[in-house]
Amino acid sequence: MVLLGTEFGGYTDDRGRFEIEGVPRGKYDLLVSFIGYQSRMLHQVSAGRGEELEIRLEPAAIELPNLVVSAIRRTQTFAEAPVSMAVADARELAVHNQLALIGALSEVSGLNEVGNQISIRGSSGYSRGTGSRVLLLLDGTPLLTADLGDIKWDVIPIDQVERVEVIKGAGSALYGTGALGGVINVITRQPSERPETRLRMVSGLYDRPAYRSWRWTEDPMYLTGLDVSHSRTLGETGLLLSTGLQRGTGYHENGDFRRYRIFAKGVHRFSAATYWRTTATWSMDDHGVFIQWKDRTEPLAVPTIDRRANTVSWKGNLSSEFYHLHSRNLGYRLKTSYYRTGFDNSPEAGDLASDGHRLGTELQADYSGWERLDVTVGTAWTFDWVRSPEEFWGERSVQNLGLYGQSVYEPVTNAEVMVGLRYDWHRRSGGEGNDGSGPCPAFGRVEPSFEHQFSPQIGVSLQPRQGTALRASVGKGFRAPSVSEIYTQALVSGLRACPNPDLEAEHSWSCEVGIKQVVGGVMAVDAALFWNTYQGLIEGRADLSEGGAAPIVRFQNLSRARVRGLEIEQQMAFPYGLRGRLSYTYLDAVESLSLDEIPPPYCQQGVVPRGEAPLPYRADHLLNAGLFVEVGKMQGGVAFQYMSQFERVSGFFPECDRDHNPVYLVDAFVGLHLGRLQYNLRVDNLFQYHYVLTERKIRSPRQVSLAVFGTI
Amino acid sequence: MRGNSKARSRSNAGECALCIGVSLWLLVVGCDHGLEATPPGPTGISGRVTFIGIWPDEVEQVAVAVYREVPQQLEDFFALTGADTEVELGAENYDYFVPIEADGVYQWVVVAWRRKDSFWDFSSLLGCHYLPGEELPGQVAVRRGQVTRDIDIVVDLGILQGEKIPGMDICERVLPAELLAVRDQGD
Repeated sequence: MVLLGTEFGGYTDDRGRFEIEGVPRGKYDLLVSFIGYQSRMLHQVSAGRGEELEIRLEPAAIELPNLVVSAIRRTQTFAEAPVSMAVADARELAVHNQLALIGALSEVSGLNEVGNQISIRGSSGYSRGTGSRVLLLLDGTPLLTADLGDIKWDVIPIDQVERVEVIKGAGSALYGTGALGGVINVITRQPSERPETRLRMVSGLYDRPAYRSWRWTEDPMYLTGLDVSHSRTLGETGLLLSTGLQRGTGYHENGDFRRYRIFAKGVHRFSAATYWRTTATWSMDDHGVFIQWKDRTEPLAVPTIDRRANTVSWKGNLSSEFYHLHSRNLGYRLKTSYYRTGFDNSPEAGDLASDGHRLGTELQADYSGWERLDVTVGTAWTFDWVRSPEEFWGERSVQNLGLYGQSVYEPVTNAEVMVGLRYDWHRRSGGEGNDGSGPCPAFGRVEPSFEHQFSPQIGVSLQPRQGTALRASVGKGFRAPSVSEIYTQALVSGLRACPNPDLEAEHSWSCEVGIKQVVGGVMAVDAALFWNTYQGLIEGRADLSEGGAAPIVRFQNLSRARVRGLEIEQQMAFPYGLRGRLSYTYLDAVESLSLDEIPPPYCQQGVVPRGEAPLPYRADHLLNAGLFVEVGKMQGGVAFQYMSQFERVSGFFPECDRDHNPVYLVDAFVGLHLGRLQYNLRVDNLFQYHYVLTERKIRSPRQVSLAVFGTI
Repeated sequence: MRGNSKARSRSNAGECALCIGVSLWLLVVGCDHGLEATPPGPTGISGRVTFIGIWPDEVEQVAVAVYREVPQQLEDFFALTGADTEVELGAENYDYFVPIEADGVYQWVVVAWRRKDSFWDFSSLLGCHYLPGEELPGQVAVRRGQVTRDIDIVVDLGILQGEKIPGMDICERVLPAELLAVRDQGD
């Protein structure tokens, strides 16, 4: 049970009895939910002594998410969210047997991954691990690196993920820079009331490639991971500690990895209305670097000079949140965080290194004293400091300050209007230029610069009758470029990546309309139309104005770009425990070329000045389908994923998109629950489909894995 | 009871159709393995040699030679990786191709000539590959199964008349001073 708009909630005992203590007097909306049953919302329930409620739930064949916290930064029902959202819970994530969370998100409609970068509805292409347009939150705290501005998936404790909420569309009005394409909020488990030890083991083997000439080793190619956690509550303090270890060879040369992770969480309740939560994570990742394949005839091997390419990276995050419900109508939370990341590449991997620090703090207040009107205001500040060799990024610092406000008005029952506004101020320090001794031409001293933007957002949600929810929203987005996009200079894959100190922030307008409809309790449909326009979208482009031994690639602001499309998702319940899921996303993603746009040195077909060209690495069609069955203690399923061929890729390589094909992937799994443990046997890429998404890197072949997890 | 039986058979038929459809679709999808293996293609360096000036009569043979490392001693001149020895005499331009076996970076791509009734010697150097504006010979990266193209070389045949050609300084800048001294003594 949850009292909407508050942090109060609880669970029933095995007889269905419950009690929520410490609730200030007043009237609340109470949401009651249970797996396999239809949720119920009780409006204007009075809190006080002697109040006892009798609640009955009806069975439901279709299970829809109940509550979300990310859409408007407060607890609300899934149906009330004014923007498109997806929710994946621990059960859905567990069947993927993945070592990192990104691999378990592949079936979320509208999401796709290219080169370990996540994209929501075509907002991102492939920028070689820099400048994410999707903001990752860990329990509401932003987790993008200070230097690359990207997501480090190995820092997420996959065994502790309770659910993942995805906002599809610009979230800048609430979350500021970095949320241009959407938000992924990873919510971890709370410490358990009783002592509990959990275990998760994953072991897998990669199959040999379909062609003998592609074999780069005769040894088995494997992956393995072990996560152990313990949780308990001591007095008013809940504690959770999780450790993880992963090792593997990878499926290609230089694919070996060793990863270590520690995750700790503590929640202390001063009272029913006040708590303090602290989260700490640390991870280390030592892995080989696969820059590009040796050649087309040996796509799983690396060129001789890349044989010892390796990188070691480390990440540490400490975040803290203090929440206090001052009265029935006023609550506030104060967050602080420190995120340090660093990496060190071997000479064969470019001999690059960096040490990045991100310090952040946020204060948010929620007021619901007016009838039918809730207001949230807040401020957030981050300071980034990056240290790396002068010939790479040098020493740079960035500050971001955000002021935001949001009101949610309920004109009539089952209708909400959300109006939000955020002001972002972004300042980056100046610094020394480049003397030209490296791979890039010289440039002079860089002066400090700043940018700012007001990002409004308006959203409407309406539930005209049971099972129907309508939504519409429009909002502005903003993303400041990362340090790496501005200052990188390196020689990679025969190309020279060079700085662009004049790089500016990206701006966007996003709008969408959508409908959720439950049909007969056995089918749920969600459909949405969306339209996003971008100004100054940052993409890597070749710069032919300066000659030299290798082409120069710089991140540049595109004049205009547009991503529009349609998304349909359907869930179905059949007899005998059979369930189906089908989702389809259509994207029309183009950029408008200005007269002085310089096309890449290769792949110029369809790229003409003043014309429109497809945005690179966006697939027009994404289809996900799945059939699942659960009978007693056994589960099973088969999933299919289709992605149409990219119409355009980077253009940096003479083969262009020669090796690109449409992607067809079939995965299957069977599961068995025995005692306190769950066993999952899974085959990914069942039919050994070989494909590339980024040039000169082939994706994983068939993989068989076994996961065992549960409490011990 | 009759109504219930009809409903059950309709449900069974629907599920059967779904299973057959899914099985057929899996069969079709499973036949396509996507990217296929390809046989290895030629590996090497190619480009155009442009000759400026008049061809002397005493030229017996001209070749394009590729060195993984710049020669440090006299005998190293013969440790070349590969060569195209079919340069057409008297031509203004010649498109050459030097096959290479191993991928890697090659530091010196040169044009050399041989006098009639004579063997290749230190004075054989006619020119080398370098990029405009650069002060050192251009290094060439080669990947197996691919031909690195447009490695062009300009040769001023005036050098055979004893003229001083500016480009030759670039070609010789990477040679050890001792080696150049030996060459000059021979002259």
